Amino acid sequence: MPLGSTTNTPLLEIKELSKKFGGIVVLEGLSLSLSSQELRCIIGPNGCGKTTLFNVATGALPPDGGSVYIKGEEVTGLPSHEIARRGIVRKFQVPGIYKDLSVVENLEVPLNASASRSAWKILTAKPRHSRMLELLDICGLSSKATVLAGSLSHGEKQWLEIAMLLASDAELILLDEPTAGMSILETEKTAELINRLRHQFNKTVLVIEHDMFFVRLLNCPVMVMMNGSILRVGPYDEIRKDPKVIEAYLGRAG
Amino acid sequence: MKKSIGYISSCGIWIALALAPLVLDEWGVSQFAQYMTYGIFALSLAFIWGQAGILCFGQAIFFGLGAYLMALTTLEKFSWFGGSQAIGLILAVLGPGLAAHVVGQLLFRGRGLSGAYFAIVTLATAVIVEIIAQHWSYIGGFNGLLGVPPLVVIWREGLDAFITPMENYYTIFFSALLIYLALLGMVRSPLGIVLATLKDEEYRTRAFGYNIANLKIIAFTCSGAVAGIAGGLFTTQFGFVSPPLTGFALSTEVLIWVAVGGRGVLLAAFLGAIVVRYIENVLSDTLGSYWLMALGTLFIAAVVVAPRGLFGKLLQLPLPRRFRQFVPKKL
Repeated sequence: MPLGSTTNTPLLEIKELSKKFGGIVVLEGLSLSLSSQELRCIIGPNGCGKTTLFNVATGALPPDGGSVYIKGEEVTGLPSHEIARRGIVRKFQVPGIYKDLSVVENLEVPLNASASRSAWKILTAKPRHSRMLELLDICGLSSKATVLAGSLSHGEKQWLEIAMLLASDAELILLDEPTAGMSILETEKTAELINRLRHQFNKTVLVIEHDMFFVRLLNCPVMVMMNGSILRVGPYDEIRKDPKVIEAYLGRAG
Repeated sequence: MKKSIGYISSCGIWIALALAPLVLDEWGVSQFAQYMTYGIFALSLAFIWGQAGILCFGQAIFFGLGAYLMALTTLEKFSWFGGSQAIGLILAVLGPGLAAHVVGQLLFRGRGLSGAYFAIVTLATAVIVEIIAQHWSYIGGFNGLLGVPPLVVIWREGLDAFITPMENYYTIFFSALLIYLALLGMVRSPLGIVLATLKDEEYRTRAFGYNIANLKIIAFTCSGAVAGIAGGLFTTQFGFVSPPLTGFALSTEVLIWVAVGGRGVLLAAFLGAIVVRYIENVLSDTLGSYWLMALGTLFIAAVVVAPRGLFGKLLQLPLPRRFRQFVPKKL
């Protein structure tokens, strides 16, 4: 798949975004643009504004300046459900699953998201059995379909949430630390799942990550964030050797 | 497939209620009809509290409004309706539904109130509404309205047309069953699942594109309409309405019925209302003023010992049919 596919309009474009919490500047003139079916990683030290970037881009927080475009349409300041309807969904850092509902019910909510404009349409939404089976298979939870999501293991919760994002039919998927707290084996499985999102389902994926092992597995362009803006963009191997990046981020990790 | 315990016991309860008049005397029949009316009221609260996590401390506003609208219509205070009971009942659904819609618009829009803040605001509203009812002479002020006629049946004429206790029992029974099935259908539909996500994880649901405020307003409107019909039916059986029907005390009582029965399961809440009212009737003679203490203790016990209520576990239904095929096969 070529970058940008048929159109030159980026799927997500962020221009000069800024956000302050009181006197603390969290995002400062941050710009980025993401083409359709691209996979990209954002790394950066704790508190550099990665999660705030997701929060502002999805409308969970209002920006103090700058603008966000989805497929060329400005969405800055729209309520978060309106932004989600334009094809952007996110994974939360702490798994955003419905712990008191079964796995299939968890998946049904995003499956019916396209009906979310009308309560009547949600009420009368037809079950989509084959799609449900496919999603259960993707997150590896076919044998736990009717188990309460709250009783799943940590890794399973993360995979369930990724499958929920896939169920929503949104084009752009934002993942906030999808491998936090995972074992190496689970991390490898997650990388495989994310690569499937892109190659099998043609999704555009933006990942926030800490784990350099995982970033290498994803094998995609990496953006290094520092003090609220982008420090550098490039492939993993280049980023790793960049002295500025080492000083800012990797160096501390040894 | 083997039927679940919840399914069997739920059917059992409706069958028992259908057959109850066989063993009850006339007084018992009218008592149980009243308990079931309170049960409908409890259903209205269980629907929003148990399903969507909306803790409303002013549910009696809608019950009382339904009761007043029914009384005002049948006492011909609204002279242009000619005292029609059918119109009274329709108003008892539409009026409280509309009121709930307006309250919902005010409280859920924008950032939206939730949890304790919503509870406190609805509680304060119930107090205000009760005070207004006390001072509004058109609707009877402190004394309320007396002499509300019982329902009449269309197949008899004159004084004979007034409903018999037995007919009244089955009118309430089928109303309750119908409302229960309608709410149950909603709870088990995809919309019900979405409402269930609003309890703890509404941020997640919003991030999928659902308009949380709209969904809560719709649920709250339905709940208000159900509470209203319960109020309308109530006043035809008791023959009067008075300000406390709209107020704080009754709002708290219905919360207790629902919590004791089990807020997560509609029929458990319905049964909670019946059982608490029944015990109250039996014990209030012997216990006198200690009854309230006993009720309070029961409430605390239910909340602490059995958070799912006395009947929540027993009456828990299996997953909706559309999910059954995903139940893993046992080897």
